[in-house]
Parts: sequence; C-alpha cells; structure tokens
Amino acid sequence: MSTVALVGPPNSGKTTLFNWLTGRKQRVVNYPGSTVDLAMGMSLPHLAPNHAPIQFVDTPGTYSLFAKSQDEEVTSLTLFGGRYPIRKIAVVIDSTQISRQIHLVKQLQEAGFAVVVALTMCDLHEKEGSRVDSALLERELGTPVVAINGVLGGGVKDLVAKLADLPEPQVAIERLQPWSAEKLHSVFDEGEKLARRVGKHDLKVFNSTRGIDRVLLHPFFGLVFFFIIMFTLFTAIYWAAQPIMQLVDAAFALAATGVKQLIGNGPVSGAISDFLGDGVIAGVGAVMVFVPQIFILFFGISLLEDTGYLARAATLVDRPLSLVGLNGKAFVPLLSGFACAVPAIMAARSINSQKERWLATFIIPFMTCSARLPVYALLLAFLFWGKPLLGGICLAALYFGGLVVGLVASGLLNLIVKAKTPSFFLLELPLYRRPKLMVVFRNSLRRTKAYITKTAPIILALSVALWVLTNFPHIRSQDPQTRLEQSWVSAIGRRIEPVFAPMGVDWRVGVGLISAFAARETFVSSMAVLFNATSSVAANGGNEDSLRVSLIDRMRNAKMPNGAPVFTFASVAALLVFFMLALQCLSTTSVAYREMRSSRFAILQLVSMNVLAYVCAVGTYWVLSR
Amino acid sequence: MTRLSDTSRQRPSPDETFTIIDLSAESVVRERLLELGLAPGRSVQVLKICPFGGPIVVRAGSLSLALRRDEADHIWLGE
Repeated sequence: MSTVALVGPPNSGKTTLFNWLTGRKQRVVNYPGSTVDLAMGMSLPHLAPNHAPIQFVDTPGTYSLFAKSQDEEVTSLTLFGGRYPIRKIAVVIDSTQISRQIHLVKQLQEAGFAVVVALTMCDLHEKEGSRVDSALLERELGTPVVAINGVLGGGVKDLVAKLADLPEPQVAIERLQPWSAEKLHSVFDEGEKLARRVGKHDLKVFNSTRGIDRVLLHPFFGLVFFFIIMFTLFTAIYWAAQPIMQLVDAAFALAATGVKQLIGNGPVSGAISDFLGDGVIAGVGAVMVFVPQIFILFFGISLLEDTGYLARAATLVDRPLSLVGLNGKAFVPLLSGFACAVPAIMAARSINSQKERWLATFIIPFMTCSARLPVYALLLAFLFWGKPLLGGICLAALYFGGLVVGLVASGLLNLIVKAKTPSFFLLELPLYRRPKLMVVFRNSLRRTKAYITKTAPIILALSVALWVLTNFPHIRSQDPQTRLEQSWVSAIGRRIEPVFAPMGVDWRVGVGLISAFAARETFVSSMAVLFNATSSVAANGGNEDSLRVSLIDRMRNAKMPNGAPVFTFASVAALLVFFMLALQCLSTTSVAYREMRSSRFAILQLVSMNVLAYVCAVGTYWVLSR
Repeated sequence: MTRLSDTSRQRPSPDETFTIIDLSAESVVRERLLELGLAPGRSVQVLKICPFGGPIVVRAGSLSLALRRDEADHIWLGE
C-alpha cells in the first residue's frame, strides 16, 4: 500500500486538506523517538472510486527540508527516516504565498519525490475576481497542480486521482544537502517572477489584514482586545460549560443509582453494585464531567487559530513571557492550563524551542485547573460561610497565586536549565480569515478524544483502587462507617498521620489528599466518605450543594482524638495553599512523562511541586496557628 | 546603515521601505530568515513595534513576521 505524505509550511491549510481527504477515520501515531504526533488516515472511498485507497500522513508544518525545530525534525524523519516508505508527496502551498513557498516544492523534487502540488486559499483570489493560473504553474514546475477549496472540499477528488496516476519516482530518495544562500536566493527570485504570472500578487486581503492588525496589535487597543477575547474564552470555559457539566454529573449519578438498584443489595450483590457504582461509574464520571469544558477550550483555541488571531496574541504576550524564559508560543499552553493541565501539556508541543517547551510544561500544573475548583469551593465555603464576597476575593487570590508562583518558578529554572538548541522567536502572522466552523469543530473533537484516551485509564484505575482500599477487608459489613474505619485505607492513613500533622489535620484528611492524586476533585467525594456525609445525601441523588452543606456541617464537628477541632482557619488555609501548589494528578504526570520522553522530568516535577506545596502549607499553618 | 531593532526608536511609518543589506545572525536563525524571504537585497516595511521591548512586526512581500529585538539586531537595513 502506498503512503502519501502531506507536507507544507505552517498555516498553509494542510490539516484542513487532510480532514477532507480522510474524513473522521484518523489515527494518531507517534514517530519513534519524537514527541510530536503524526495523524494518519485512509482516503475516503468516494474520493478514489477507480483506485486503491491511499494512506495519508499529515506531517508537522515546515518551511524547508532543513529542520530547525523539533516538529520540523519530525517531518524530515517521516520523509527520510524509512519507517514509512514514502515516495509520493502532496505538497500544500498557499496560493497567496507562492513566491515564498515554491522552494519547498523544489526541495522535495530535488530529493527525488514524486510531487503533486495542492494549491490552497484559492478562494481568496476568486473573491477578488482574480484567478490562479494553475496550468501555468503546472508547466513551470513540471508536476501536477490541483487547486483545493478548503471550505467546500473542491479539488480533493482530483488530487487523489492525480496522486494515484502519478508514476513512482525512478530514482533513490535521499536526504538533501543544505542549500547555499545563493541557491535559495535564486529560487526565491524565480518564485517571485512565477508568482506574478500565476496570480495577482497585491490582493486586497493583505491590506485588510494590515488594517485589522493596526487595531489588534495596537500598543493600547491591542491589549484591550486581547483581554476581552481571553475573558470571553475564559467565561465560556467556566460558565457556559456549567449546565452541561451538571447534566453529565447527574447522568452518571443516575447511572450509578440505576446499577445499584438493578443488581440489588444482597451481601454479595451489594458489594458488586457498590463496586460498579462507586468505583467504576464514578471513576468514568470523574473524567467525563470535564469533557464539556475541555471541548469548549479546544473549540475556542481552534477558532482563534483558524482566524489567525492566535499568532497575534502570541506576539503581544511574548515580551512579558520572555522575562521568565518563555516565549509567546507558551501562551496557549498556559491558558489551557486553567482548564486542565493534560491538554495544556499536549498543546506545549507547538513551542518549537526545547528549553521553552521544558519550562512551560514544568509550570503548567501551577495554573489553577478546573479540577481544583470543587475543592476550593468546599474549603472556601467552610472558611467564609455567608460571606461570598470574601470567598470570591480569596478564590481570585488563589488563581493569581498559582500563576505568580508558576512564573517565578519558570524564571528561576530559566537560570538553571541549559538550552540544547538555540532558541529564536520568529512568528509568521497569517492572513485573517473567516473560520471554517466544520473544520474547527472536527479538530476540537479530535483533540477532546485524545484527552479522554490519555486520562481515562489512569483515573479509572485509581478510582477502582481507591474503592478497594476504602472497602476492604470488611466488605461484608453493612455499616459503611465500620467498613471505612477498619479499611486498608485507614490503616495506611493512621500510619502516615505524622506526615500530615504539621499541616494541622488528621489521618482522614491525609487520606483525602492522597486520594486526590486520582483527580483533585476526588478530594471532595472522599472527604464525604471519610467524614460520613454521604449516607443521607446519596439517597436523594447526590445533589452537590446539599452534599457540600452536609459535609461542611460534619467538618465543623470533626474532632481530633484529643478533642481539638480538625478544621480550623489555619488548617483549612494550609489545605488551600497545598491545593494551589501541589501536583496531585497522576494523569498530568503520565502525560508530562510521555510528552517529554523523560521519567526524570516527570519525577522532578512531581516531587518538587509537592514538596513545595507541603512546605508552604506547613508554613501557612504554623504562621496562622500562632 | 541601521539595525532593524533601531527602528524601535525611529518609529518609521509603515509605508517607508528599507532594503536588507546584511544578516549577521548565527547560522540557524540566518538560514531561517533566508527561507522566509528576508534576504539581503529584499525590501521590508516596519508595520508595528510592540511596547516595552516586545517583538517588531515586519512585512516583506506577502509575509508578515513578528521577530524579537534579539533577532532584529542582526538584520542590517539601508534606505
């Protein structure tokens, strides 16, 4: 079976074309030894009715075959590494940028590949009554050229046919020797002349883009718009997702109760239904409840990316981020970190310098992810019951605190970490375009799926493990309180109590903190189990608010063995500080390990963040309890 | 002859055209600039200068590019 690689510069519309070629059936593969994903997929059957289907691989955007960053290295590896026998290439060229991009076509031809040029963004010419002379381009390049309409999918079928009919190259394919500056210069000159003959070179869309940039990159108004756009995205992530999240939550609660009723409550069946309801279904629910938020995050980012705004945002924040060793491209990963660290770390791939990617990945978990929110809500409600304004201020302070600590950490690490490759910041600002909603929707769907497959197994396994530990060995006992008091988890908890004592809390909170490693919000539900707040509430469907009220009530009355209250102002404040700084999320650690290809990195991050959190929490308790 | 980064003080109008005379950047950055079309002999316009020492946005033909002052230090311009 023949594999065709899609190769093209960033922003050339490669991924859009890939989606038209392969539809929804795509799989993501990781090129061995690299941290960048490649998407692969078969051509849709209706595109090649008379030919055998073609396997397509979408490569990371590259300006030339001489790689200058990690993701570009993956493209050369894919083409020359020998893992996939690639002989034919569809090179994706933006028809508004022909003069600058034609050298990529020439490099691929020189390396020996059989090439078909897919010319994108032709609609921008057509809108202005001009036409792209692809026949002329075809003659000049000596290879087929197909005009693609990214919005409607026109030309895609033609592209597949041309690729299928294209004879395999007769020569051996070899990695190119770098071009000299003179050669590049003369190819550019030729490209410029050719571009003028192929189509209009001073399209109005260039002027309108510059006009928009006069506002969106303005020293003052540019920042105003930046904050409005980011505030809108943030609001959508938190508020628009709320009702859907509640729906998902309710659905899983209903499923859990349904399963319990279905299986019954006998001595054995009760244990099984408990396991399925509280272990498995609750575990899956813990992942799924954040899916609406993650999807909205991806949708918003893809939308901004598709319009071309994201490059401007990165330009605007480059300077402040450069002060702590990051660059403008770290902006999206850090922003995503406020929803969830897992997609954020995945997004850090787009940072093409190694050191900056390292720093950004390291500090992402300091951003206040949405899994911390239920915990903050509980603890702040305990501290400031009936004083919502004070609680709100504290919540903002926690968000801000995490961000500040993260940036300071990056600044400090920047002084220690050595860069292996030189870092530079050259960012192309693409033309502003009307976003293609279908493409944006599909991309966000694909990324959401990747999020689920990365987090679900870990959270599910830990949730099942936690259930086993809290219910065994006295699984047959009918009283949940005894089951818990004599469970393995309480045995472990009592043994490690000295660790948590300096934070001013007892073993039950310690167990809650450990359980939070499955997912932070698990803290709330395990606290409910540990302080026996669920029994009355779970019966009527487990409404979150009533659960919180009943739990806060239990927390107020919780006593240490010596009669002192467990939850004081000092100990709850210490817990808040702990949650703000701790990396209590094994999904994050596992993704960080996989993305950075380094267990050392993952362990360093896990240990240092948690040690920092512990020390700060103990310090907080010590200061406040004097 | 001035550096591109010096334009942050002169604040030229976006219509003013400069010619690139030389690139003194080290190999990787230099090569990438050439690949983007910022080569000696080509003309550029300075579209935007981000405040507080932020990136400079230039236009060269169909390209709009944001680059840091560090990179702009190595691009030498003439009128």
